[in-house]
Amino acid sequence: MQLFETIAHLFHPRRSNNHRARLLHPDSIFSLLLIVVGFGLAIHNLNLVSKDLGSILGYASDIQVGQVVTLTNAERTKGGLGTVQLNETLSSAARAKAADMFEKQYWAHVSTTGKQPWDFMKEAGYSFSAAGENLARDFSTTPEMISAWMGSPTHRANIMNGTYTEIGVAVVNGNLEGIDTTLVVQMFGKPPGAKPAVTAEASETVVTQVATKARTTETATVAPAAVVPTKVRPTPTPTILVFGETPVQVPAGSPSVLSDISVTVGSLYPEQISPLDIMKPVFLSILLMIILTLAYDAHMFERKNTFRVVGRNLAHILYLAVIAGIIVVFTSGVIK
Amino acid sequence: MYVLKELSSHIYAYLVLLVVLGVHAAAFLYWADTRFEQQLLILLLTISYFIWGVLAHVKTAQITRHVVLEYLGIATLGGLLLLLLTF
Repeated sequence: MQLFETIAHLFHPRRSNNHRARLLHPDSIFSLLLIVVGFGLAIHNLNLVSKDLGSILGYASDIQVGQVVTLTNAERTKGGLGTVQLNETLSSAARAKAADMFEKQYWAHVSTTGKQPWDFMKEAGYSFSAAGENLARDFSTTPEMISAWMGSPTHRANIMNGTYTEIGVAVVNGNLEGIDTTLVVQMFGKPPGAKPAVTAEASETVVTQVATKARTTETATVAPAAVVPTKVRPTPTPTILVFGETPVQVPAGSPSVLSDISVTVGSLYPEQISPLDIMKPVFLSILLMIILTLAYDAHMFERKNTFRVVGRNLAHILYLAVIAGIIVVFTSGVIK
Repeated sequence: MYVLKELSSHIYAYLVLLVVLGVHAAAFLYWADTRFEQQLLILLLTISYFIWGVLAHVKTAQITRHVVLEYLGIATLGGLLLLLLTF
């Protein structure tokens, strides 16, 4: 009986709540605000704690090197371009770049010490006459990330550049500026003397070979840096970065020395749940509860045909519905 | 019917609100991959809704402290939910 009374007090306009559902009173809304803040902090802290406890919660990413190559080639083929072949040396340059970003804690094409993407390629022993770089972070799936790149003119220009014949990809987990994330570095190159991949030559064989090579790369342990195998953890909020919209001409013949980058990155986690996957349903439930309460309150108010000075329920409903819509379509992931 | 009655009584106010909400939603999706812009938009949306609510009630001379706090609470709650997702 007590429970029923409480529920009625919270949701049903009547004398005890001054004829307005208690949940819609400012003090209740502010209490809800505190609960939401507490919940948000708990989710983020739980993620931090999980590092020591061995993964209770974390970020989930399903990005795989092979998929990045395959989907990149699929886009190129659609655009009438030849496919790019996965190059292990270029991939090691990409891994070195990712490791450098975690080590020096930056998110940019040019490092904090002024090091350019080409410098990583040269250090890895990759000779090229043209090169480009795309970056992404916090995406949970490869198609989502490729689609973000394709939606950005500058990143798209790199992917759809017929000059490039080779690709290197690194998918690395770590902690960047306090956030557990997955960085994806995509490097393109054209070795000196190689013919541009302008014509479509996307044969099944080439694609299969690329995919096979990529799978090998995923399992290979290159540096202490966390090379992301298939399903590891990562990622809260996504982004992308591009470099080399205009292919940079660099003299060929750099020393053939593999970089020996030693970085301590966040430890790898087994499969985990993204905070986004927890926050979204909780937030949507809160919004739905308030929207339904507002609708019910408006309905009851109209039936009783009384006068009261309160906020406009319809306006609140419209505002919260837009917020709910944005939450539904919200995806993690950022590109550069 | 509550919705029709409410809309017809304050048609211009609701038109303004719909435009504000529509523009913000579209801009949010346009900057889907850039967090900073999204966070600015969330802040702008929160402030816009609060101001809209206060002005709409000032216009009808039905403004009280309770109403202002209600708009502040609802606007902040919506903004906060979005903001938490972007961090």
